[in-house]
Formats: sequence, structure tokens, C-alpha cells
Amino acid sequence: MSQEQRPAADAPGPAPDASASQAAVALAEWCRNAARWLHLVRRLSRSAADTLELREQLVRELPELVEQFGDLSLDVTPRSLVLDEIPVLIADHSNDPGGSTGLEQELTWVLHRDGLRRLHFQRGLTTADARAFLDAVALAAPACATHEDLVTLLWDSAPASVEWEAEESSAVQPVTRRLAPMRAPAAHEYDWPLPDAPAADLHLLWLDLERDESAHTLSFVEQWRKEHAQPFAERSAAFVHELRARDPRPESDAALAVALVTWLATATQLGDWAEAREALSLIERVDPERKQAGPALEHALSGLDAAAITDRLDSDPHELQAQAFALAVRIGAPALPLLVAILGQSGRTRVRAGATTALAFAFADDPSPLATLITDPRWQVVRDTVFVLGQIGGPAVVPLLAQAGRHVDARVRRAAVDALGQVPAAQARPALLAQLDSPDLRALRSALAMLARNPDARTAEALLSRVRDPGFEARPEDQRLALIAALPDLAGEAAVPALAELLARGGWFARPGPERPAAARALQHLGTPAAREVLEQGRHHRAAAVREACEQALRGAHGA
Amino acid sequence: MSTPEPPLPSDETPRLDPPPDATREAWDALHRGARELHLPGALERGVELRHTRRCVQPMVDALLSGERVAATLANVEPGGGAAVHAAHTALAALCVAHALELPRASLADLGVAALLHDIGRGRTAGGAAMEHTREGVRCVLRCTTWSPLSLLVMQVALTHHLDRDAPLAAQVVSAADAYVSLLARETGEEPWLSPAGALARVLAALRTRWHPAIPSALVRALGFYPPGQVVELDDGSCVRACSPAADDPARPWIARLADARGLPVPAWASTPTPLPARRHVVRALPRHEWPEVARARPAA
Repeated sequence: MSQEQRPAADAPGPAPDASASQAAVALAEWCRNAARWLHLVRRLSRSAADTLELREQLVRELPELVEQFGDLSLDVTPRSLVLDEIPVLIADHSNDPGGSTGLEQELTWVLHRDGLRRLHFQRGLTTADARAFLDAVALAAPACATHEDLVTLLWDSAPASVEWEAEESSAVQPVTRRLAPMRAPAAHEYDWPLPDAPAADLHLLWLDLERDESAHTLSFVEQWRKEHAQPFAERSAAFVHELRARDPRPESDAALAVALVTWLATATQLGDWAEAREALSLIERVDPERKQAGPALEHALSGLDAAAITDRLDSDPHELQAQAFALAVRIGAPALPLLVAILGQSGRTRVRAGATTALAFAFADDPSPLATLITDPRWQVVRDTVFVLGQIGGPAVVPLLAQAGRHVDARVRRAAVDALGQVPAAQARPALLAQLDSPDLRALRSALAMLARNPDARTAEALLSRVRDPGFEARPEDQRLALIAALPDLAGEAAVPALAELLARGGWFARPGPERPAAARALQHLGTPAAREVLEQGRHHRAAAVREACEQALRGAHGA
Repeated sequence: MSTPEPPLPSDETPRLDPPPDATREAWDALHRGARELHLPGALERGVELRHTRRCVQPMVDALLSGERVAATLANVEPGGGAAVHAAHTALAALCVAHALELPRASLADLGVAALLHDIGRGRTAGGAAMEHTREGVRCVLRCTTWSPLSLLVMQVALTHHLDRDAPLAAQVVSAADAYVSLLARETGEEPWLSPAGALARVLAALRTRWHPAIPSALVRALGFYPPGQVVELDDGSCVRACSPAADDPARPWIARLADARGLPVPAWASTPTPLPARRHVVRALPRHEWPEVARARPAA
């Protein structure tokens, strides 16, 4: 109904304005709640308790608004809903981390996207109408990768007192409109030959048909219901089987595989993991080597609304989360963007853990696609990727872990060092030795611990070179102590001269300091005759600091 | 025997009787949708079937509101393009499905499937006669996403020439396709069948291909005297059948063509009306017996 028909606009004077304003205020509140409800639908699903509760509140309130203020006509734009030139809802996605993509999740956009331009809530609106309207909106909300169309859903549910105006009534995709307006039409070739049988006498035939018409119609309707009650997955599988039997050509299989990928993507978007699994099974049957399906999967899955999927997963029960990640493992490399998005966006530790586990399984044979994640701007994603690389292990992950070991964030570097423990020692050693210069104490200690598992001459040489380096004194104290403490395990007997030097450094003027006792403890820990000899000599050193350090070390040994 | 007339040079559909506004708008939407879908290269650019439903919805609503939409089938004639054939088949299928009391949403889906049932035709380079059914599936596979609607469209495209084994939707489209095809068929050796002749041949030779409810629904949808058929009444006058009465396929709505003396009825007096209770149809006239005014092909 147009605005002229609204009582608020009909009556002269200030009262109508006030009424219109009141209607706008009331409707704005309703719209805000509706927008909030839509976010809940995205995050929790349509059937979640919170979602249903809010929907029922909206269902109750809308007829009351229409009853109170008369017909309400809303203009729909991508960013706003407008009642009589007064905006009643403006999409606020300015703080959305996804930037402009955040608009796609707003009520305004969901309404506008499929061509809806004006909504009319008319007098007599019932709660059933309101519920039908909201259900259609909820079904169409994730339509970026599905087959739901809001205008058609409204048409299907046919709420009696909700009218709408939509653009593109011809409804074929705009891409087809770019064609030349009228090319020569294709002439039709008729494929039903003229039957040889003589024409029937319709009257006689009708007597025959009419006799059993009711029974046949009932049987038809029953069979129709049966056909349509069959689950979509079963119908799809049966059709794929039939099509391949009738058309076994490779090009048909190729087209089939690519089309089935769209089904998998849609089911994934909707969080219907069982259906997505069925789709993947069919894809694997049609295109076992994934010649066609592989690129199609990459394309389709990278275009999904990962934020919506992540939100849904965050609120799903554990079983569904497990199904999702099991599917991702089966999909393999094409699932990478989706898993990464989940890693980056999920607020649940369990979900992120599931994603990392899925990545570890999915890329166990070839971790090279994970290389792109090492340069991801989100440190958490890089850290989790490093964890995944550690789970995968083997020589292939070493270059990636070495790269992660140079990451600007210490948390990533620590994770990289931890992960290097999962790869063969000889291959991990260069990356671990690079950590000897790390300014991060935890990373340094972890690297030293890893290196201590399989010490060798190169490790000893590298450690001794750090200790003897002129810059050693300039390093933070705790780092110096860590390096000294590691010398017995990593350098063995070769460390004795360096430790002796550290112990006696300063000569007559040696002062108490942390390195000297540390060197003495290291010598004591080493426990070789040469090391003990150095300590015994130290007990008689001219400098009191040296004598004390050696005494303490030896006392500690005896005490132990 | 009537002289075969040359096919129309364009894809436009001629109108015999101006249909009611709702029917006209619904037909325009349906035909426009069919035309866009059948434009060369349209499918290659991608089609979202969920939007294509909207082309069919006005026709479904017109049908359910009691509009005599079947009257538009009077315009079926030889030489129409693929889009016109698709739209006519969709309309006939909707009428049959409505007679079978299918629900509203199913009607819309069926209409979309009927619009695309022969989409593979013209895309095959020779090969078997039914190659277009497989090519049709490939077209749909390539142009849209896998969904319940696209699955239905593919089922119909693949199986609408099968006997009995096909899904029911495909059988309904098959019956509609057979009628529209025979009605539009005209070759040098074969005369252009009258609507009643086409229906009689379809039922005589093909009815066993389909579920037994479909032939009777086809008769309910079209009547004994399908839209466009010229019949002689018991008073000797000559009328054109527009669409069947809802409860009696033997009593069509009629538009008068010639009175009992053979004199043409002026246009203002030929508005479609129900067959008067005191009158009945004596016989359906073969096309060569149609009066000149009925045989004349109106301008597009």
C-alpha cells in the first residue's frame, strides 16, 4: 500500500507527522531486533533456542505494529530500510573485520539482494504471515552459495497480508541480459513423429479414461509425494547413476563432477555436513582423480562465506564439528582457504584445534600448500600453521619451519622451535642453530633443548663460537647463562677451555658475577677429569670470586 | 485439405483472441523467460534457476486463480522458435499438472523444467535422435548449480522421451511436449493437424507411455476441443474453442466465428463465452474445413 493510503499521511496537521514518527520509532525497534535475529540465525541456526525465542517475539510484535499504525510500506535499499522517508534501519557494518563483505550479512542486504525493493505489511497481518515472512528471510539469508531466492520463498509461503515489489521480474540472471536484445531465434525441430495409429475417438476414449480417473489421480499424487519425499541426496545419487548409464562419455562426467562441486559448496555453506559428504562421495565416484573437480573445488570453496561457516561451527555440537573437519580432510587441499579462515576467525579453542588437526591430516603427504600461510599477516594463523607443520613432521616442513623461526612474533618463533623437534635432527639442526642468536629466551632455551637431543661437532662449534664471540657479553644475562649451561651437553669435553676461560675471566681483578658460577656449575655438570681439574685449580685461584664459584660448584656436587 | 502456410519469420507469437490482462502478463513473463533462456549463448553465461522461477510464478498464479490460461495454446502453430515451443510446452504442462492437483510450488518448479526440457536441442551436431536429451543435461550441468530445482530440470531434460520409467514431472512435460509438438508439426507430406486432431493422435498412440492419470489430466486441461479448435455447433454455427470448462471437457468456452448461415460474426460479438446450455458441439472440424476467418493467420 502506498504512503497516501496510510492514515498518518492522509490527515492534515501535525498529528500525522507525529503518528508517522511514532510508527517509525516503533518499526525501527522492530527492525533492529529483526537484524539481531538474522545475525543469530547466521551464528546459531534457525532452530536454536535463542533464535526461536527472538523470532516469536518479532512474530508477536509485527501484527501489533500494523494494528496500531496501519499499513506499513518499507523501501528497501542495500544499506537501509525506509518508512515514509524516515530510515528505520541502517546497516552498520563499519566495524566489521571483513570490511564491505560485512554488508552481505545485514538484513537490508538480504532483503535487497534478490530484487526486493518495497515491502508492504498490510492491515490484517497475522502472526502466521509474520512468521512466514521471517522464515523466508532466514532461509534466504545464506543465499550467497545456495539456491534459495527470497522473492520465490515469499511467493511459496504466500503470506496473505505481506505484499512486495521486486525488480527483475523476468528473473533470468543479469549476465544473460548483456546479450544482444534480439538475435534470430533458434528454429525448433519437433522430435515427436506423427504416430502411425489412427486418431482416437476422444469421446469413446474419455469414457474409458474417466472411469478410473479418480483412482489414477490419487495414485499419481501418491507417487508424486513419494518421489518428492525421497531425500535430495538419494535423488541426486540415483540421477548421477542413471545419467552415467545413459551417457558414459568423459565430457559428461567432467561436467557432472563440476556441477556436483556446487552442491558440495552449497551444503558446506549451510553446514549440512552429511549432504556435503554425499556430494563428495559422488564427486569421487565420477571423477576419482579429481581432474575436473579439483580446480572446481578450489574455486568453489574459496568463494564461501567462511565467517558464517565459522560462526555456525563455533556454536555447533562437537559431533557436527567433527563431521565438518572429517569432511575437510577428505576434501584435502581445496579445503585450505576454508580451514584457514576458521583458524583465523573462530573464537573457540576446540574449533581451532579441529582445524589444525584437519590441516595436519589433509596436508600430511604434501605440506607445500601451507607455505602461503607462513606469510599470513595474522600471527595466530602462522602459529597454528607451525603447529600443523610440526604435527606433519618430516624433511618437507623444515624450510617452512625455518622461515617461521624468523617470524617477527616471538610466539611464532617459539612454536617453530617446538615444531622442529618433530623433524629429523640433522635436518632441523640448521634452523635450530639459527635460534642461538634469537633474542627470545624461551625460543633459545627450546632450541638448546632440541639440540641437546642429538649433539654433534657442528652444534658444539656453533655454541662455542657464540660464547667466545666478543658480542657475547652484550647479550642479556639470562641468555648468556642459558648458553653457558648448555655447553656441557652440546659441546662436551670441547667446552672445557671455554668454560675455564669464563671461570677465570678477569684474572686478579675477577669480580663476582653470574657467568662465573654458571661456568663452574657447567664444569661440575660435565664432570670429566679435565673439568674437575679446572675446578680444583680454581679453588686456589688468586681471585676470591673464582675461588668462591669453584667452591660452590664443588659443594653443590658433594651435596648432591 | 488446407494449404500449408509458410512459417512465421519471427519468434513472436500471434494472438487469436486477446486474453485477459492477468493471463497476458503471465504469458509475457513466461515467454520472456523462455526467450532469454534460449538466446544463443545465454546458458554459457550462467543461469540461476532460482530466479527463473519468477518467470513461471505469474502463470501459476493466473492458473490457480481460475484464469483461462490454456486459451493461449490456441497460438501454437508451425514455425515457432525454440523459445515459443518451450513456453507453450510449459504452459500445457502447467495446465496438466494443475488438473492433477499438484501444489503451487511444484507447479512453479515443473514450469521451469518444462521451459528447459529441450534446451539441448540445436546444440548437437547430428548423432542419435535423442542426443538432445543428454546434451540438455550437459547444458544445465554447465550453466547452473546443483540444487533440487536443477536436478528436476535435468531429470526432465534427460527422460522426457522415455516410456513410463521417467519421473512423473518428466512424464507430465512429455505429454505436454507431445501435444504441442504434434500441433505445431507441418511438413510437405503431412498436413497441419487441428488441435483436436493432435490431441486425438497423442492419446491414441502415446498415452501408454505415461502414468494413467496423465492422459485424463491432458483432456481435463485441454478439453475435447483444445484451444484454437474450430467446431460446429448443433445450430450450424461455427465457433472456436478457447478453453475447456472447469468441470466438463466437452463444453468449451467459445468465440463465435460464423453464424448458422455461414456469415462471419463481427469481432465485437466474438468475445469468449461459455457454451450456452442449450447448445452442444456436433463435431470438431478438420483444419481444411475451417472457415476462412479461422484459417487466416493474424498478424503477429
